[in-house]
Amino acid sequence: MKLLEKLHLKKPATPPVQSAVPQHEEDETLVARAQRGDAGAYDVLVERYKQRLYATVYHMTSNHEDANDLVQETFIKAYRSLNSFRGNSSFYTWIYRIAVNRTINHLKRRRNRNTYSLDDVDSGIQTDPDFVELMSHVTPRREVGLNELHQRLNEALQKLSENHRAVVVMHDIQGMTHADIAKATNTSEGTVRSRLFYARQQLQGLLSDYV
Amino acid sequence: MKLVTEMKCDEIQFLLDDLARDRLAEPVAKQVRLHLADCTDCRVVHQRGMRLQRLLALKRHEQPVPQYFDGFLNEFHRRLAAADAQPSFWQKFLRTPDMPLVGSWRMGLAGACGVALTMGLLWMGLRSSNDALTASGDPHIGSLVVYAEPPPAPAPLFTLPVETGIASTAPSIDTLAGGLRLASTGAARPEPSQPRYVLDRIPITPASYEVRADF
Repeated sequence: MKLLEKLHLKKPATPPVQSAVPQHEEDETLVARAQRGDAGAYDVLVERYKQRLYATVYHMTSNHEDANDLVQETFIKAYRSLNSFRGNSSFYTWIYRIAVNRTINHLKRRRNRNTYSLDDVDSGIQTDPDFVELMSHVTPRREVGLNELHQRLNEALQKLSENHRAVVVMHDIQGMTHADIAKATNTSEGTVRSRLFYARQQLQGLLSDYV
Repeated sequence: MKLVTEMKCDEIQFLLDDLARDRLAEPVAKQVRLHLADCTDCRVVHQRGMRLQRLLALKRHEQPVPQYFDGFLNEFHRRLAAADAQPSFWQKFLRTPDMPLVGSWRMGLAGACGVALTMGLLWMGLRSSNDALTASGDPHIGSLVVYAEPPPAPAPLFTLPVETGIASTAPSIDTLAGGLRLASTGAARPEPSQPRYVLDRIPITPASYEVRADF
């Protein structure tokens, strides 16, 4: 990792997670109000972040019901711990970390009983350039069906360890930077890079028909 | 700084993700690209990695049904109320249904344990302070103080004679295997002595045969 530090990496081009939130100041205000007992302020925060948390948890679990439960539990846990939130990070980073940790613990508990209940694939995929390119390179030995493709993707992800899966989901699916993933998982950037590297190697083997 | 040209393939492959996302400094990115142009293995790894990332990115299109989040907030409030209604650990510990006295009984037991613990700690504290005073040799403490003398340092058992042939001066000669003759130094070999205990002092109080009425 020292090597990477010596290579003078650019500053992250993509904005960090907390600045992706359009009204960051409002988060602080809402949190302060919620800490004083204003339940309505916390409702606004729930509405604001429920979909983003759901997406991450869903891609880690590949299970609609589990994702729903885990996101609900995350918001309840955060609400009860709201007084311990000191504002050292953004509210979203804080609650995101709670969600990821709960999901990883959940996955460790149910390690040997994977059940899939996949969400639908939206119609936008048909015009996604990546999908178009994939369809144009369909190998003669394999006909790519959309649902089958997603099934295979989810199965491959489920074969990764919890920590490797979390990093792949956050980086390759959610588009987070190494620094933000390190914050969310409470690890170093070097650890994130290393996990990503080995997770991809494993995924390339599992998805060799497609890559 | 290590030059990219000096890097091994696995080190280059570690940088490919940063190259794909344009996060490398330009001189380094240029060197990595040059390496990719020359190295077939790294080029294949790079291409496969890019395809994998595009494939994984397709998962963004997996979405729940549009109405899924409509009742999310209500569900949150329902679960929060249910969680609040559940008693905490201590409430569960102190409350047992249909046995109203159990709670007070447990409180009493906990109190008794607390008192016993406090008394035990006090007793141990007094005992340790008494031991410290006894060891300090306070003459007002009328207890028997016993000291153990350390055993004397052992004398060397055997020494080699300075010259051969003077062994006759030694009071005893030990013969070892091989004909080597060793002479003792003349000093008597000390017997290992037991530690001697010295009675330092005994509190002596004059005997009295008067009738005392101590109650």
